[in-house]
Amino acid sequence: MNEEDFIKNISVISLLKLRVSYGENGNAIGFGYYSSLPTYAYNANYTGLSGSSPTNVGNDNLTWEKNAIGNIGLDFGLFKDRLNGTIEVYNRKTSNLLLSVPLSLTSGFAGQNQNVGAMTNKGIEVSLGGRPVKTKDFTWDISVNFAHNTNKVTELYAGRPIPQGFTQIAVGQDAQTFYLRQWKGVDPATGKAHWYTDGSHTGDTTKYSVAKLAYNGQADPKYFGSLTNTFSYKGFSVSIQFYYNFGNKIYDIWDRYLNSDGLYLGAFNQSREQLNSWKKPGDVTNVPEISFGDPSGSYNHSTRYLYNGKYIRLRDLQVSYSIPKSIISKAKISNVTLYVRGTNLLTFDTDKNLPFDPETGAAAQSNFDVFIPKTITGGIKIGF
Amino acid sequence: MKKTNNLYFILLLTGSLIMGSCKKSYLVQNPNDSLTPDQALSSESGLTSAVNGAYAGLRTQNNNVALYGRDFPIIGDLMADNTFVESQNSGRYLIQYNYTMSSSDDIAAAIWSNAYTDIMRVNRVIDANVTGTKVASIKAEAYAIRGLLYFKLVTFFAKPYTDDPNALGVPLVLHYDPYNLPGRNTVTEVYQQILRDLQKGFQDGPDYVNSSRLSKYAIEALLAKVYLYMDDNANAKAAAVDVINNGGFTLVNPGNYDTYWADPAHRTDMVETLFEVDADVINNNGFDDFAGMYLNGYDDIYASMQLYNLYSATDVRQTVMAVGSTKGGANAIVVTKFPNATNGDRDNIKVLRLAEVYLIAAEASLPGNEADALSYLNALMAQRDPSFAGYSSTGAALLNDIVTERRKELAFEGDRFFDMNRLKLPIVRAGNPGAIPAPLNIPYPDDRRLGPIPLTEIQSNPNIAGQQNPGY
Repeated sequence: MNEEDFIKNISVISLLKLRVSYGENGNAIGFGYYSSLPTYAYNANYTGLSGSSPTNVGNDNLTWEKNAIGNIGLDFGLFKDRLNGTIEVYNRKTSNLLLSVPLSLTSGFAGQNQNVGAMTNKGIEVSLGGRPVKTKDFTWDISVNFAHNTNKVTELYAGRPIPQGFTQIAVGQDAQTFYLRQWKGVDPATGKAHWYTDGSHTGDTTKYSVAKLAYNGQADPKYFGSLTNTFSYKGFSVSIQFYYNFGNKIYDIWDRYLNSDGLYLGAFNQSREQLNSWKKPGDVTNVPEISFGDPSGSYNHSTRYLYNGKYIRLRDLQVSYSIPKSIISKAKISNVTLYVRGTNLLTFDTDKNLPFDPETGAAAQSNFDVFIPKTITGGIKIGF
Repeated sequence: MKKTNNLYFILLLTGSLIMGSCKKSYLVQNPNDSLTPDQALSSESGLTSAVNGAYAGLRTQNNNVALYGRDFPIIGDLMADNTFVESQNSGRYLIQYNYTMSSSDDIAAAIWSNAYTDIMRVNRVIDANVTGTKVASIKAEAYAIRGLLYFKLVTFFAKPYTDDPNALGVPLVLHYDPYNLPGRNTVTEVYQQILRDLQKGFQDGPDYVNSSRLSKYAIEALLAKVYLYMDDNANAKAAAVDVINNGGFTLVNPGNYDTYWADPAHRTDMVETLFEVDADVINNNGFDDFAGMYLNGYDDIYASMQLYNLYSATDVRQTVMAVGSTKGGANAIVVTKFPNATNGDRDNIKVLRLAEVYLIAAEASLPGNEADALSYLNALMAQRDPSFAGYSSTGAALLNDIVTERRKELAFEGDRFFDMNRLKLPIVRAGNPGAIPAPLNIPYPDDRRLGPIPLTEIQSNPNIAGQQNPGY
C-alpha cells in the first residue's frame, strides 16, 4: 500500500502492506491409518495358545477434519523502518472434528473415533520491532510479540459433551475446559474438607460424592508472547528475551499422592504443605486435619489441585563478544565470537501455591514432571 | 502432417490413460497385523483363538490387573476380615480396605470396564456364524465365561440375591453393539441369565483337558455356587453332588498340600483344581501379579491374627502361612500360599476347587439333612486335618461351622467378602499390629459394601445416570 499515491508522500510511513487470505485444508493427524476399520488383533495369548481380541470399533464414515481459515494482515514500517510490525487477525473454523467419543463401557470399548462437530479459533497476533537508539557504536533493538486466541466449540453430536479426563469438550466452551469437583476449603472450626455442591459455588457439602463436577478454567492460555531486547556496543552484544503466558489454569495430577492428608503416609513422602494442616479449632488453612486412613476423601481430584498457569520467564539471556576484525584478519579468520548463554534463568509472577513448573505443555496438566532446567552454556564461534 | 501426428498422439495417450487407470481396490490397504471381525471369527480355529483371548482377558487387559489378575483375589479377602494392609505400603488397595470408594474409584472402574470388555469378546464368539463339530463345545466355554463374568459383576455392584432379588443389578449385554446405552437390569434378571448361560455351558461343555479351561464339571460346580448364592439349596446340592460323584476330581491330600500350592503350573491330573486362570512365564503381570501383594513383591498384605488363630495346630492349611513380621517390623502372619511372584512360571488364580464343592454340598444340605451336611464337611476335614475327629454340631452351630470352614479353606482366594455379603453377616475385624487404621465394623446392610458404578459410565450413558448405588 505504501506505493499508492495517497500514501507515497507521507514521509513517516516507509512500508504499508495489507494482505488478505482464505484457505481450506483437511487434516487427519492423530488417527492411525486403519482407524476406520474394525479389527481383531492376536495379542491375548493364553497358556501359550494364540488368543485374539477385538481392538477397534471402526467407523465407515470417518473422514477428514476440515479447516477453513480467513486471515487479514497488515505489515507496516515507520520512520524508515526504525519501527516496524505486523498485525494479523484470523478466524479459523474447524468442522468434522476428529475425536474419540466415549461409548458406554458396557459395549466393551471405551470410545470410537468419530467426526463430531465444529469449533472456531479466533485471534489476533501482533508483532512489533524497533530500534529506539542507533548511534555509531551503540544500538538498541526491541521486538515484542503478542498473541491472543479464543477457542470455542460450536457444535457437537446431539450437543452431548465429551469427557476427556480432567477436561470436557462442550458446546459454548473452550475445547479444553477443566471439569472437576469444586473444592471449597477447610472449615476452621472442624478441620474438615468442604466442597461446593456445584459450579455456582453456593451450596456446601462434606461428602466428596455429593459434590458435582463443574467447569472451571481453561487449559490453553489467553495471552502469550515474548519481549526481546538486544543491546550492542562495538563488539559486545547482550540479548534478553522474556516469555509471558496468561489466562490458563493448570492441574496437578500427582499432587493427591503428596498432599494426601494421611492416606498415603505409609506409601509416599508428603509435601511440605502437609505441615500446615489444621490442628485446632480456629486454624485457617487449606490442608484438612491429617487422619491416618483419611476417611473424608479430601485427596480426591478436585479444584484443590487446580492452579493459575500464568508466568513470565526469562527465556534467554545471551552475552557475546566478537573480536574486532582488525585483530583476527591477520590470522586469515573472518570472525571469532565468544558467548555465554543462559536459558530459563528466572521465572516470576506465578501462582504462589503452585508447587511445580508452570510450563507444562498443551494439556496444562503436570504429573510429577521435572522442572524445566536452567541451563548456562558458553562457547566460541569461529568463521573462516 | 504434423498436426495429424499430434492428434494421433493425443488420442493414444488418452486411450492408454483410460484403460490403465487404478483399480479402486489398489487404494484400499489392510493392516498387516490385524484381521477384520469376519475373518477372525470365520472358522473353528478362529473361534478357539477368540475364546483363548477371553480366558486371557480374565487375567489382564492392556496390562492392567483387574478381574482375576489381582483385584478379585485381593479385595475378596481385604474388604472382609481375613487380611490387612500394613503401614509401610505401596499405596495399593488402601481405599478399598478403608471403605472410602467414590464413583471415581479406579479399581471399581477397571472391574466394570474389563468385565464388559471380556463379555464383549465372548458375545462375539457366541454370535459367530460358524459350523463344525467342535463349535458347540467352543461356544459352551464362551457361555460359561459369560456366566462367570456376570456373576462377579452382580456380586460386586449389586445387592445380594438373598437380600433383595428385585434390586437393581447390572446391565445385561448379550450382543455386540457399540452404541448401546443400557440401564441396569434387576438382580433376578441377571441371575436368570447367568443360570441360562451356565446351563448351556454345562450341556455342551467340553471334557476336561487341563485346569486352565472350563470343562463340563467345572461349569457345573460354578452352577452349584450360583444356586447357593440364590439360596436355592436343592439345585445347589444336586449340582455339587454330581460334580463330587461323577466329575472325576479328587481332593488334594495332606501330604501333597504344600507342593500343590507351590506348583505354579496348571494341572492335568484332576487333583483339586476345577478351574484356574493361568499365568505363565510369558503371559504374566510381572511385579503386579496378585501373589506379589503377599510375598516376594510389594509384600503389603498380611493375614489377620484372628484368622490364623482359627486353625488347629494340626491343620495342614496353616502351612501356607508363616509367623513373621511386616516390613514395618510388627509381628504378623505372612501369607506364603502363593510363593511364585518372582519365579518363571507364576501362580495361577484358583477360581473353583473341589474343596469348595464339598462345602457347597454341606451347606446346601441344611437345614433339612444334617447327616449329609456333616458327611461332606467331615470328608473335607479328613483331607485337611487328619487328627481332627470330625464335626458333630447341629442346627445353627453346624451352619456356622460350615461357614467358618469356608473361610479357612478359601482364605486368600477372594471369596470371603462376597460370602459374607450373601449371608448378610456384619464384618467384624480385629485390630492387627502394624496395620493401617481402618473401620473395624462394617454392618449389614451398609451402602459401602456395594461397588460404585464408575463415573465414566455415568457420564457416557444417560440411561444409567440416575441408577447409581446409594452413597456414591
